[in-house]
Amino acid sequence: MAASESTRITLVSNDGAEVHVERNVAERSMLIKNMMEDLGEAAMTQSVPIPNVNESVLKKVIEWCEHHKNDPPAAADDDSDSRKKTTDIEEWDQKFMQVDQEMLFEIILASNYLDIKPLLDVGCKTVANMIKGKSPEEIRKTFNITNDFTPEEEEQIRRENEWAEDR
Amino acid sequence: MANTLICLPPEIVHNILKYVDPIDLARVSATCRVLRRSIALDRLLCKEVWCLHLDEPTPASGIKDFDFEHELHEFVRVQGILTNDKISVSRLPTISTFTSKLLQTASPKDSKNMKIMRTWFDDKRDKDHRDNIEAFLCQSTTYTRALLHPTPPPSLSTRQASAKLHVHYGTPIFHPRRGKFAEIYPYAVSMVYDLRNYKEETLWGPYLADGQAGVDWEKMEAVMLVLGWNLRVFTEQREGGVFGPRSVWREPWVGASPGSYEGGKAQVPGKVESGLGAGVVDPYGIEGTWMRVVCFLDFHDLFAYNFTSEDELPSSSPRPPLNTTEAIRLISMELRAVRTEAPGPDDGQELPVVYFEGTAKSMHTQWDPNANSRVRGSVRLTKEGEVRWQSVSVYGGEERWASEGIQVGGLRSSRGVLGHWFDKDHDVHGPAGPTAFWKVNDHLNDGADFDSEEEDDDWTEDPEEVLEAIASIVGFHADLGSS
Repeated sequence: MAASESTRITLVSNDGAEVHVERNVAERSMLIKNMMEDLGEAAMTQSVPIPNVNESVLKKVIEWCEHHKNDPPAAADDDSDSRKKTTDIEEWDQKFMQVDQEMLFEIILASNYLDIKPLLDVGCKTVANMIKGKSPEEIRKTFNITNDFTPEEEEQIRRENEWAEDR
Repeated sequence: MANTLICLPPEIVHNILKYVDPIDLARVSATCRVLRRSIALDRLLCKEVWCLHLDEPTPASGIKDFDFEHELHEFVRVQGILTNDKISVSRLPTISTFTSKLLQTASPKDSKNMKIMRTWFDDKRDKDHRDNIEAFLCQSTTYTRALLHPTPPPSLSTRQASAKLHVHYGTPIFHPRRGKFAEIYPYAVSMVYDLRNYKEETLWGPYLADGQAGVDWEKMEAVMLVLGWNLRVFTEQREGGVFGPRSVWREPWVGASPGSYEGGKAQVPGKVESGLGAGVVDPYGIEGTWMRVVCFLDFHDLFAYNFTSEDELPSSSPRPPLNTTEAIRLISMELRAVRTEAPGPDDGQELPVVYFEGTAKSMHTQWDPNANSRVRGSVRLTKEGEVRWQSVSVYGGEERWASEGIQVGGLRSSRGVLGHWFDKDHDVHGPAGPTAFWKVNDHLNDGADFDSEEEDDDWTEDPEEVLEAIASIVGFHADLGSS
């Protein structure tokens, strides 16, 4: 498999940058993997456009794929996938996700578009951890959300959420 | 800026929120309209959050329409009650209802529900540590009577909820936080050997006087305490015994869930099994060998305690605590289902009534006139959905002792049955006492036994075997050794 591992392909971001990457690294993306299968030999010579992702995000995503290129493939049965059964994030991924919020959401959107489920999960868990244990006001502040409830709605929400504040 | 939390597509918001803690769902939905809407419209979210933290209900639970949203809210509520700054004993019914549901839906293996309950009721034995065990598991009549500085007992529903929690918890608490309580055992004795508790209105069992075998958890708790105490004494007197790893009364919560006997090898209820006659089903898992423990007071002591008091006690007053020494018998029973019937109007309707027959052998002395007998009885559901066992011991063709009990943890639980034994003619002068039995294995040693009244010669009293049997109930030896 050494030959195919060293095969490089060229991805083109939506801002026109060419990114060269090992094929098996790029194929952490199910979208790219399927595209490669469809294109066959042609993919080796042509560049592959990634129209929804800009250069900096694409490079970041490739960095993640590079680090995780030897991970065992996700289980076919989604429910039995142990990574879904915990909110833990491995140390390298935690460091990897220490980016500003805009980049974090860009990575999540890119991994969703490129169909890289493990990366999508790491991103979503990172956001979930930013929510955990916070009050509504703290969550608004963290994510720059405007409170658009009327006082009547706020009262209704207080009643609906009585279970969470029952002491 | 396009990339904010509230601008993400709904499926990604879902992917994020399924990883938050249950309580965070309330906080997120209180931030703004967009997030409130996405949570309210997300039918799967509560189920996914539940399954990340707790066990997905198995078919064995018998629950068809589990309301994940409601139960997730109850989880947060109970978690709050058990971890906040003040202790509210009045919330016991809420706690007990929810923990019963957690047990009912617990996975047979690696249960997250039980793991969480062990953290909620963690015996740190540390004065500075909040003690949920003492706060919530020690509020029944038995415990409040034993308080050194008595306080008015909580309401009936609170006491029942506390006793139910304790019975489900399943390891008898003889010493709550030291200094606050007198010895618990004499108070449990005063409930178990008060013959006024054995009467027609309560069907002679550990039931409330509702005529439908509604479980009286305070009586169940007293039975567990008295039997647990005697098993401990019995074990202590036999120092140096070898104890196996099996234990049904030792690990908190373990065994108090449906199907826990099989430990996951789910057998479809109602399946016709090999040893059964044509048309006989065994949904309760009767067929096999059961270990039974029976305790009793010396008959003169029992009579004196109940009938020779100077003053007439008002019927609502308990008898005084009694520190005593009881006799204990361990019995091996081999049972098999023989006949089924449709449930009666007072029974739970989900399963049939199943009748069983079998043999019982004392593990102590085969020359004991009560050592070997035949046993027959029945199992049915109560209206509450509890599994109710009735049995009668037959000696030389004559019925002698009867028993009534409830299987803790429900259908095919490994914890087994707690209950009362009494004279089959319901003699008000007794004798009567506590009993428990639990399944040991699925085997029947000798089917011929069922057709013969002959005494069995091959039965030997093997002390190792007896100790092993006790070790299978309680790990007291190990507990004592480590303290």
